[in-house]
Amino acid sequence: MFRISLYTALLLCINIYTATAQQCNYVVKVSVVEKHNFAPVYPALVYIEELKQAYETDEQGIVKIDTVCAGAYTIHIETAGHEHAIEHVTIAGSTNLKFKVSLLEHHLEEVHVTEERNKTIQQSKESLEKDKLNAASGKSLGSMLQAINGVSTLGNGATITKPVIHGLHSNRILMLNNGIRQEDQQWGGEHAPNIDPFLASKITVIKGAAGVRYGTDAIGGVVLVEPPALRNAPGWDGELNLAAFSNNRMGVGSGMVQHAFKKVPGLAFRLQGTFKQGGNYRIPGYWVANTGVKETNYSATLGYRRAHYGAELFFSSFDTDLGLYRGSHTGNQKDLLNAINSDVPLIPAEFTYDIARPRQHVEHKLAKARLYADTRVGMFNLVYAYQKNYRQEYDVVRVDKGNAQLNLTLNTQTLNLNLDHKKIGKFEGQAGIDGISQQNYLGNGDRIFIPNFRSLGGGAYLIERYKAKDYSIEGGLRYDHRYYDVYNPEGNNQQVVNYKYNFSSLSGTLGFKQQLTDNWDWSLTLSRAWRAPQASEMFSAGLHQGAARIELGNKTLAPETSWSLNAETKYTAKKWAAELSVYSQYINNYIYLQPGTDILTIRGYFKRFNYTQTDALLSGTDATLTYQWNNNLQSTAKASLLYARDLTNNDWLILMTPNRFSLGTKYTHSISKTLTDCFIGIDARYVTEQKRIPRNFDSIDYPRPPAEYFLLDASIGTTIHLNKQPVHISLSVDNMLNAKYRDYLDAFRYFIDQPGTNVVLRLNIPFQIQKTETK
Amino acid sequence: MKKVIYSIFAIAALAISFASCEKDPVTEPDVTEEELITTVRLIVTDSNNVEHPFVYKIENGFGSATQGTVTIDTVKLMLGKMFTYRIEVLNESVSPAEDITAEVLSEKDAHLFFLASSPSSGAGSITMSNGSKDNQNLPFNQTGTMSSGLAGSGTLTITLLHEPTDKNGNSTAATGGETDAEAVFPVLIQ
Repeated sequence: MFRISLYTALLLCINIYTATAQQCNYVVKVSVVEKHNFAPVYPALVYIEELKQAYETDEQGIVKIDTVCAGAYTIHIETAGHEHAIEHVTIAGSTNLKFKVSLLEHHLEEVHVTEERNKTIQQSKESLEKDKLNAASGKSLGSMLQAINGVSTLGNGATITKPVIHGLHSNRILMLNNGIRQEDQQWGGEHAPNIDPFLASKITVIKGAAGVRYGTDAIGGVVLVEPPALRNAPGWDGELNLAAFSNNRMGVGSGMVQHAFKKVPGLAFRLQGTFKQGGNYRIPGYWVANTGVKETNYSATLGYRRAHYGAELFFSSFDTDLGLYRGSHTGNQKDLLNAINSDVPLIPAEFTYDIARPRQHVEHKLAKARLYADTRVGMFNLVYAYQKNYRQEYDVVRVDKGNAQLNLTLNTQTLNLNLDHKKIGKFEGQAGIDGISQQNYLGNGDRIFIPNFRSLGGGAYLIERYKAKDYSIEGGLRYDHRYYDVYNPEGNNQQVVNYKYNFSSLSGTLGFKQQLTDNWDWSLTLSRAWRAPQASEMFSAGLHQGAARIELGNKTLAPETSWSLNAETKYTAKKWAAELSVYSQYINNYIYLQPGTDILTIRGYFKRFNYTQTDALLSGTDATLTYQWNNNLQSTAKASLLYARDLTNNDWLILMTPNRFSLGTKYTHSISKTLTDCFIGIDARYVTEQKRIPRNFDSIDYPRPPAEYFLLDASIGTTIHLNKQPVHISLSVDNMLNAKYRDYLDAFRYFIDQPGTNVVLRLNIPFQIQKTETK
Repeated sequence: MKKVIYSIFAIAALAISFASCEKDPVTEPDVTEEELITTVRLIVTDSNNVEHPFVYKIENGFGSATQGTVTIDTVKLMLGKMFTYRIEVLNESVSPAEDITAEVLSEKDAHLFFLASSPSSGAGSITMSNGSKDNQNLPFNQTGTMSSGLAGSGTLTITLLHEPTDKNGNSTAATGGETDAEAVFPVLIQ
């Protein structure tokens, strides 16, 4: 069916193309600079009225827009603290445009608002911009991030996915939701990040240890989920996103509306909401029992900004109910083995939207207040945030009394004061302090998972960058202290024992970046990060559902510290571009589960695993090669390799991402003014079998890692301009060949295949109510 | 203006530092493993109406880091005899002990006692028959009859299964379901 529609769409594109041969392949590069000192403006909103399309500048103040048709355009530049600029341009060929924006209050020329956001540190990173986010809309954050080289996913089937950066995940990755450390009990593969990707206009992944700016835990990397800046020019605008997924009959709707007041300049708000509901998903040949999902999210932002100061309030709510495949809950090792050895899913199912036990209900609420002031010293930012994470797990029980078997609450308050100081000679940089207060508690009668604890922490940092003409050196240092007060029920009569811990350590970064020629640069970064052992690693004493094993915490664990070295080079030529990143990361006291002796329970013998520490070395490379065949056709090849060693035992580390390769080709064409950005693309992904496994693998895990797999995805889409209203429409097909495969990092690999073909129809409708319409 | 901003910063910082100093008491929850089973009891009644109880008990039941005291009785039966049996499941970690049998009985459609003898026939074997049925007239086997085989030793495995997919299955692999309890009794027939 989808093949036919692909053909028709392609034919349509070609037909229209031949009918109205008009030049629409121009590449326009827009750079936005400050009028007086020519500093790049970031982030600035570049809005093209005729296309109703907004773009955001990068840290160099640049936006690149492909496939622009010839014609006259009105371009708006909006950025905090600057005057709203409107320029009329005529495009007759590929061109570079430079816009200068001046400050709102001219009499304070020497003071200028730097950026809304803190610049990310100079380190290997990659972003998903608005267009890429739109192309993947409706998917979970974890699966979206897979588009970034070096990032893979870990999860429980299709419902729960979380990102893995260079082989590390969960508590070794830090997620920043609108600048706030996301504290949402990501204690295992079953705990996905509680973030609605629809609130982001950009998602950036910093690869490798990056603790210096963001604090502890950023050993594997950082994921920054960034909403767009609030509207500056008076008026209304918004966006509607709709997506329909065939595989689990999932519908997703997300809307956003924002307004800037005319009477109170600088006052603006944004409201955003998402609803998502899907049923059981389908693997080749079967429905998967109890894998439905339902999600309701919303957020509100209120901002007031003047040229030199401002304030912002943000509130977001994330609420999800999701089912876990019934067959993944097994009573004992024998049940697990039966499930593994069965060729068909042990629990037969039909399609339904109903969610039964085992299921999860998770809520995440975030309230944030921010004040900023631009002074002679620099830009001060004070951010306070309160977040509450509430997780309920409904296990399969003998008698369903309607209650959850786990009710976890995690309350976190964070405070950050940051100063982006003004340039001192050739030095620019930032300094700040961080505070965190946290409480975690169980409900009465809960099964023990994490003991109750209270934690306080603080940190201070300084990052400086020396910028010469064609090179820059960045150095940063940070000190953190974390205190834990834990109440753990122990022994046969579950006596509560109190434990107190103090952990502290240094984080740092030292980086060098050099621009060799106009189109060739390279960089080298050495960084150090650390994390305190988590309560689950120290105190868990019980069953790990789904894995049918008993996990034993270790109260004497030391913090994990990491040194990572990353070399990166980028080369851009006329026709092709190449990017190569090589990394090596040494992790001292790497915490992992080591198999121990079996334990007899009333359900039979179980494998017992103990949390223990070793020294690990993770090395690898990410390479990307892009070739531009002509103005319309582009191919991209990516490779991501990882070698993860256990140095103490001179062995491979378990559960590490296998090597991945991908190849994609995209044909883009703007046909006419009513039909722009027509595209058709195909992507192939190849993931090898993980053969680098520990020697004792067979005695701790069964079966061996799944076989290699090959997937084919395709997509086609266009932008239709209906009476000046653009509508972005696309149709994509994931796992086009309905391939039967399993993934090594998926906890359901023991039981069932990965999802089969998924056809997704997406609509994105941006709208704008022009202020010129008012009298 | 700047002074106003600075004072806002200062007030906010103070307010927050006070807020975080305020110590909410960390509650110590009443943590009990829900639906814990520690004991499977097999009560065999001979033709003279004399009851012979056999106990399979793991003190900490399940989901604990340690097993506690383990009590496993050997099922000693006279050779070539007929008996009736009943199975009880208990939580003896609480006092008085909680009898879970009634709960299982009330949910009998979703449960199955699967009894397996090894060897299945001959010396040391036990043969089961007339197992009790659930409300759908499908096997439940909480009570039934047993006949002992020839003199010898073997094992009798009693598995309490939750939500089996096929109650007529002839092995736990075939019945499916999640194991709630698995008691492996040594058997001595003499």
